[in-house]
Amino acid sequence: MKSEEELINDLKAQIIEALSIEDLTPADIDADAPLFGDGEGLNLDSIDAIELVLLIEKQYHIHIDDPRTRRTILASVRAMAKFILENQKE
Amino acid sequence: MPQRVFITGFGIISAIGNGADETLASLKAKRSGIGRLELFESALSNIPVGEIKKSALELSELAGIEHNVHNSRAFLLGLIAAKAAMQMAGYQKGYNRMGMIGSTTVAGQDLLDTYYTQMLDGTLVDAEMHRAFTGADATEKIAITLGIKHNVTTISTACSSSANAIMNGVRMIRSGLADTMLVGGMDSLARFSLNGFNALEILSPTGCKPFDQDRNGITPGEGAAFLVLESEAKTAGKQKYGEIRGFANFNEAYHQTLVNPDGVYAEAAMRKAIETAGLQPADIDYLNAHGTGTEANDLVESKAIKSVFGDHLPHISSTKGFTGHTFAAAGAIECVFSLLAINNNLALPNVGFSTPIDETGIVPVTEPTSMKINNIISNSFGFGGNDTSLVISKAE
Amino acid sequence: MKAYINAHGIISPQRTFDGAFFENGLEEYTQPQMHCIEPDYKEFINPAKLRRMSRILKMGLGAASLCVQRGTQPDAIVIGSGFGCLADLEKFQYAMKAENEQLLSPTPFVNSSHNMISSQIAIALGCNGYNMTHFHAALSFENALLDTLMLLNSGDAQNVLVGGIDEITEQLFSITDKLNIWRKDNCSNKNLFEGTHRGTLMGEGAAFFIIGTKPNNGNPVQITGTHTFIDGNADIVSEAADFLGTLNLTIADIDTMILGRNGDAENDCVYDALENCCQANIVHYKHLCGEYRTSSAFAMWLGANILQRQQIPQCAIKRKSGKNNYSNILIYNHLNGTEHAFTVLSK
Repeated sequence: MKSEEELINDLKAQIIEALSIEDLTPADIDADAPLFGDGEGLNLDSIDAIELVLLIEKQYHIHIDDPRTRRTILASVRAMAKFILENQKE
Repeated sequence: MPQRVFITGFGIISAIGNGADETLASLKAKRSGIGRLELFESALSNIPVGEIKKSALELSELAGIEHNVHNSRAFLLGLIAAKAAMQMAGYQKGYNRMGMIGSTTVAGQDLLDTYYTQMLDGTLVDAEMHRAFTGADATEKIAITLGIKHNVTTISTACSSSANAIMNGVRMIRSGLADTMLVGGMDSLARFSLNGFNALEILSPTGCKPFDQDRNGITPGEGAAFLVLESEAKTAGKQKYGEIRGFANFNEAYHQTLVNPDGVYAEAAMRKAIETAGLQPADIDYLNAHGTGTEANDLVESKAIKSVFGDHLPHISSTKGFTGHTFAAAGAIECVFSLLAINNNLALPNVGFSTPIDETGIVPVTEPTSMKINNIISNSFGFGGNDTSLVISKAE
Repeated sequence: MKAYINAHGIISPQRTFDGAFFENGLEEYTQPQMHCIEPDYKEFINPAKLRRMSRILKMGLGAASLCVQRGTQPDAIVIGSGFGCLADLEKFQYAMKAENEQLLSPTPFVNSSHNMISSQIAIALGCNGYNMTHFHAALSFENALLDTLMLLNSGDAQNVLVGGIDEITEQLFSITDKLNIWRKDNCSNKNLFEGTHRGTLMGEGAAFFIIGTKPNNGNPVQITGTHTFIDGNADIVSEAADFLGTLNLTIADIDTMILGRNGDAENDCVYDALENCCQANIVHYKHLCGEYRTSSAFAMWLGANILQRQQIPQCAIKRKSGKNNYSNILIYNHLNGTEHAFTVLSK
């Protein structure tokens, strides 16, 4: 099982790819910065949220049932990593 | 004063019927066409849809043509509606000063879905099929069938497509390029659009509930409607069913799919359409809303309506609870609904509504309501922030 | 009312985005697909605006941005595209089948909507005015152009961004190649018009223009008119004469014709009657941009350059007449002998 930091690095690369953020490298993304919100962090929108839910489902085989929990799970790259570590099957 | 443009014929087919009579009867009886998907297989078959329960064979028969594998479902629906419109306006065929504007988002998608893999791997080599994949083919085949040669185009601006086709038909006549325009839109249900809207998580699991506090998304539908628009000079001695008196198109320039939460361009479209009609908001008797049943659209549209009309709201309803959202065809279908409303002095009911939206409190018409109707505004708002409003008036 | 071409931005298989084509001459292709020579978009477009964009969307925004840099901010946007955002449509269609309608990414579906090019440009330019997409095969660009002329004429807009745009996709090539539309002999585009052959070269491009009611330079090119029709048995010469008549012109007034010959014998014979009915200079262009649905937008760019420079690029001359002053150009293009489009440009 990967450490939180390793997973964060993987996720950054996967996010750049899934959301085609071509002008950023993983090093440019702050793991603790908010992903969503006007002018903050990566400034993502609701289509990105769907893409990130798909990323978690396809890459880590974790299904997110309740759409209302998304904002918490996708709050930052670190929040995503923590959620994946907590829910990943051995 | 710009040249007046009248409607001398119209045709319609949707989940609530083929032709004006069947359609009006369903509207009066509050008989929704929304139900189960039956005509093709899909993993999303549990999603309610506004399907026309007729096979390609049956539609070909209604259209008066031989069945042909190259005919998309949208083309067949379009031809049925276009032929009816032409016949009503007294035309067997087009003539030199008649043009056509069709519109569609997915025409050809049913064929694409069935034959694309074979075309790609070479087991099917068929130039006509390849042409039929694209939306323009549907318009062009209708134009050729009806003998319309000059100024034929297809517009594709997502859910406002056929409202734009109607607007541009009026502009063509006013600019002197044509005296008669056949305008409208056609879309069929397809796995492509079902899956696309499902991926965007905006399909209603229950059937759409426009303007309801508990609305939960759109219900995809299918259908077609066409209108014959004519210059005033051309309508001498003819029955006129209405006038396209005002129109406006704006772009929100906000987001690919999300609506601007302030609704400023939805509001601007309604205001300018009323202004170009030479009317005041108070002159509008009935408003046929875009009202898709999504959380965002209905809230933003409600706010925009309140900004335009203040405390003196016209009678309001979305008719998408009858037909589902017929995408490119919606503007033309709802324009025909508006003509039925005007000519029968009837405000159309909004099915699927029970509780008003907290923030705006708009209560739509829920029963067919007899009243004098002179002017209607019809809204069509599409993906990419494409906002169009039409003002449809009684022909005097 | 008059309509002037006040700026153009064109991304094509030639080095046109920065005008180097006029010094470098023709770019050679020996494969049947002629892909665009694209600029580095990040040099002139904020990378954040390019996110979530497929190649055709970038080409469109790129050509539009070049236009706006050289002209004015438009108050309306009108796009013509024959196939629209095809790569995204194919991508979503493929994923839908491969994944059995499960767990689909919404982005290609959003991008596949045909009006996404005009919408994305509106977002990038902050243009809230009229926004339209014409989607009618080989008539798409001229229909967009007619819409533009109507907007200017009615006073609803003073500066309109109009563009013709289409992209090559591998799947489109694969399907159409089986229909024997493309040359299979590695013919160079330099030799496209030599000999008698079937088939042509596949092209793509984004040719955008700012059309205004007032000229913004001392050497203006005017769009005099455009017209389209559908007819499988058309008499092109009489149709051209009728159309020119509506502009108070005759065929004798035309000093240069730009014709959509593509090297395919059956396609090209449709142009013969028009070419033989007059003494005009004859220009061809599909060896420069390839065959695609909105290639006539490339022809309009070429025509505007001929009028401004008073010179026809050597590589585009098919027949040179004694007429060396260029003032009225007729552009004619057809698809399958059924869809026909005329445009007249004047000095």
